[in-house]
Amino acid sequence: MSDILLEEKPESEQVQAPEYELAGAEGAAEEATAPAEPLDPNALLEVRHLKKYFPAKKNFFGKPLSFVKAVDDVSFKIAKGTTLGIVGESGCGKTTLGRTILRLQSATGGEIYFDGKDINKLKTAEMNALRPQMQIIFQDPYSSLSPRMPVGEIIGEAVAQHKLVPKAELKEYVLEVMKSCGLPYHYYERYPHEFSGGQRQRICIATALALKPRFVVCDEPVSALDVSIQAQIINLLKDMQEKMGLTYIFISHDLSVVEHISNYVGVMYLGSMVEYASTEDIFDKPMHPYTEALFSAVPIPDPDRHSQRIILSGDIPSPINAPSGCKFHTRCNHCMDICKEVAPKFKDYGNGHMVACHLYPQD
Amino acid sequence: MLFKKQDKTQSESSEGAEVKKSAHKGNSHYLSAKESREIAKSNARAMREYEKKKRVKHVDESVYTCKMQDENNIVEFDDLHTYFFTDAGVAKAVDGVTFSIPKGATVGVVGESGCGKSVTSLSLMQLVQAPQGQIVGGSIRFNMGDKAYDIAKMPINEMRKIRGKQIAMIFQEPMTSLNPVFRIGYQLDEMVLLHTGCTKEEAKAHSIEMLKLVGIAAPERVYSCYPHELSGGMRQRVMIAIALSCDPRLIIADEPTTALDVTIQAQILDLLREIKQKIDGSIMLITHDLGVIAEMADYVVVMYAGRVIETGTTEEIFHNPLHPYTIGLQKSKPVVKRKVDRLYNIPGQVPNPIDMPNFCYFKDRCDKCIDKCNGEYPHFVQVSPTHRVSCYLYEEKGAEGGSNE
Repeated sequence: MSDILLEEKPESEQVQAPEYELAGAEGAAEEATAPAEPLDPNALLEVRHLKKYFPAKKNFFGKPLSFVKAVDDVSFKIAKGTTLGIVGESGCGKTTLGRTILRLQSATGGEIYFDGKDINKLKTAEMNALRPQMQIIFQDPYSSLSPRMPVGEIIGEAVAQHKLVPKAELKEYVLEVMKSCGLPYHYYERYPHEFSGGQRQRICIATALALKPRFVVCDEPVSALDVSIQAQIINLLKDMQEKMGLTYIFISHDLSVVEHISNYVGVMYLGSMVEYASTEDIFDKPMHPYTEALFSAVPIPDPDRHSQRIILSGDIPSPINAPSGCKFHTRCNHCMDICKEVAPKFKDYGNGHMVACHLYPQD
Repeated sequence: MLFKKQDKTQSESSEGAEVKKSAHKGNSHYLSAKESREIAKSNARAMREYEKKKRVKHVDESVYTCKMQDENNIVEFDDLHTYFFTDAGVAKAVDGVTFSIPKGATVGVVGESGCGKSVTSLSLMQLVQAPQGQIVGGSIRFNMGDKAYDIAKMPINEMRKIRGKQIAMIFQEPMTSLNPVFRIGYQLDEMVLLHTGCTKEEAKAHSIEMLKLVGIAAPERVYSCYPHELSGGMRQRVMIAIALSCDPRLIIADEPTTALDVTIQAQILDLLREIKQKIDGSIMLITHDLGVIAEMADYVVVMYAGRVIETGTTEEIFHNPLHPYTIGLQKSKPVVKRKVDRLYNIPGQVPNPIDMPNFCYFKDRCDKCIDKCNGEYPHFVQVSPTHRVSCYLYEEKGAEGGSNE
C-alpha cells in the first residue's frame, strides 16, 4: 500500500497548489487552533469548506492565472461505522475529494477533522503515523498493483512499514487477512497478472484492510468489474464493514450501487456539493433539480417501468470558468434570474437534508 | 488476446477453493513445450486453410446467396461458430449461436465480458481479427430486401459494399474509434463518398444534416473540429452520425453508452430510439447493463461463455427469467428503490473458453444443479413461441419441440 501512496504524491502541481493560494487563510487558521464550531462527537470525519484548486494556466514566471476548482467549498461529516456515497458525473471532483481527504493531495483550503484532529495541519511524521487508519481502494485494479511483487509482499509491505506486527508473524498475519478477503492462501506467492479483475480488487481490498484502518475511501471500486463480480465485491465490502466497524466514503457514478451500500449520499456537481441527505430521503424526494435529473436518468431493469425522464441538455461546463451564481443554472429546467447571479447557500431543510438551490427559501 | 488473458487467470476458481496440489502441476492449463509446439502447428495449419479460402478471387454469387427462413427477419444467425486460434489452444469465442433480428426491432444482447457478444457482432461485419479469429462454421443470413446473402461465406470485396452501407456499427469507445488526425467532417464525408458516389459538396451538405439529426447544436462548427475538441457525449453523437450517414438497414451498437455518464447516457439512448423510428431500421444492442436493455430492447438474447442460453421478448426475460444465470444476473445488480439486505452473488467466474467440457457451462456456478446437468450440453427448450432456454430444469415441461441445436 505504501508504494501506492508514495506513487501518488510527487505530482508537482499537487504540492505547489497551497503556496500561492490562500496564504492568508492558512495563517488565520494557525491562530485559531480549536475549530470555530465544536465538532460533532459522533463524527469520525468532518470536512469543512474543503477546497482543492489546480492551476490551469500559468504566466511566464509560473504564476497561475486561472484555476480548475476541482473541489470548491465542500462540507460534510460522517458518523462512525456508516457509509457516505458520493455521486456525480465524471469531472465533478469526486475522486479529488476522496484523495484530498486522505491528504494524498494537499488541500488548498478548509479543514478536515479526522478523530478531532485537523489533518491538514499535521506534520509529515504525524500524518504518516495516522496513515494506517485512513486507507483507499482505487478504481482500477489493473493498474494499482505493482506487477513485480507477489501478492503476499504487496499486502505485507505496508504492514511491515508501519510495524503493525512483529516481523516473524508477518506472513501469518498476511495469510489471515487474505483469508478474510476470500483469497486462498496459495495465492501468497503469485503475481498480480495471474488474476482476474475481481480477484485483483480483492487483493486491493486486502492491502487496504491489512492496516486495520478505521476509515476507507472506496474510489469506484466496482466500476471496472462485471456485474456478477461486482456483487461479490460489494458483499465483501459490506461484510468487512460489519466485522471491523469501518467507515466508508463510497465514490461511484453508479447510483444503484450507491443506494445499496450507503447510509448517506452526497451529490456533487462541478466541484460543489449540491445535496446531502440520508439515502432514504434523497432517493424518495430529491430536492435539487440536478439530483432529480440524475436519478431519473438511471435505467431501471424493468420493461414496464418507464420513469418520467428529465433529460439534461448539453454537457457539463468546463470547471475552469465555472458558471456564475449557481453552477447548475446553464442546464437547469427551473432556472430563475437570481440563479445566474447569486450562488445558493448549502442549507439544512430538516432532518439533515442539505440542499443548495434557490428554489427553496434561502433565509 | 482477451482469451489468453483469461486463460492465465482461470485456475483460481472461486473464493475458498480447495488448495491446488502445487503451483504448477495442479494447474490444468500448464502447457509443456511439446504441447505448445503441437498447438502452434495445428493452429498454423487451420489458419492457413481458412485464409486460403478467403483469398479466392472470383466467387460466384450463387455461393453466398441464400434464402431467409423468415422474410421478416433482417439477420438470422444460424449455428455460428467463431474460433480464435491462440497459443493456449482454440478458444471457442462463439460456439453455436442461433438467433434472429426481426425487421424494425431492437434486439439486446446481454452477457458478461468475454461471453462472445462482441465477437458475434464482429462476425456479422466480418471484422473478426484474422488470421487468429475465423468463422469456422454456421451461417449469418442477411436480408438485402430482394435477396439474401450468407455473410459467413461472402468474399471481402462484396462485404465492403455492405459494411457501412447496409450494416453500420457504433463502437464502444468514442474516444478511440475516431481518428484523431482527421477532422470530423472528413471522417463523415468519407463514408458517404465511398458508398454513394456523390460530389464533395453534396457529401458535406449530407454530413451537416446528419450532425443536425443527432442533435449537435452547431453542426458547421463541429464539422471542422478535430475529435479531441469534443466531449465524450458529442463524440458518441458523431459516431452515431457516421453510422447513420448511409441509411443502414441494421445498426450494431456495441456498448454505445458504457463509457458515458448517466445523464449523457440518457440523452444517447433517447437519440437512438428516436432515430430508429425515423429510419425504420433494426438495432442490435450489445450491452452488459440490464437497465439499458429493459428500456431499449424488444427482444433479449442472453449469452454465456460463447453460447446463447436464453432468448425471449423483454417482458419474458425480465418477468419470467428461466435460466439460473439470467436469474442470477438480475439478482446481483442492485436496483434503485428496491432495497435488499445482501446482493445475490453468482459464485466463481466465467469459465475459460479453451477446452470447454461437453456439459452445461454454467454447471459449476449454478445453485440449481441437478443430476442431469452432468450429461451433455442441454438443448434449447421452447417455453413459449418466443421464449427459449437451454437448461435441463425445463426439459420435461417444454417437450421436445424446440431442440434447435
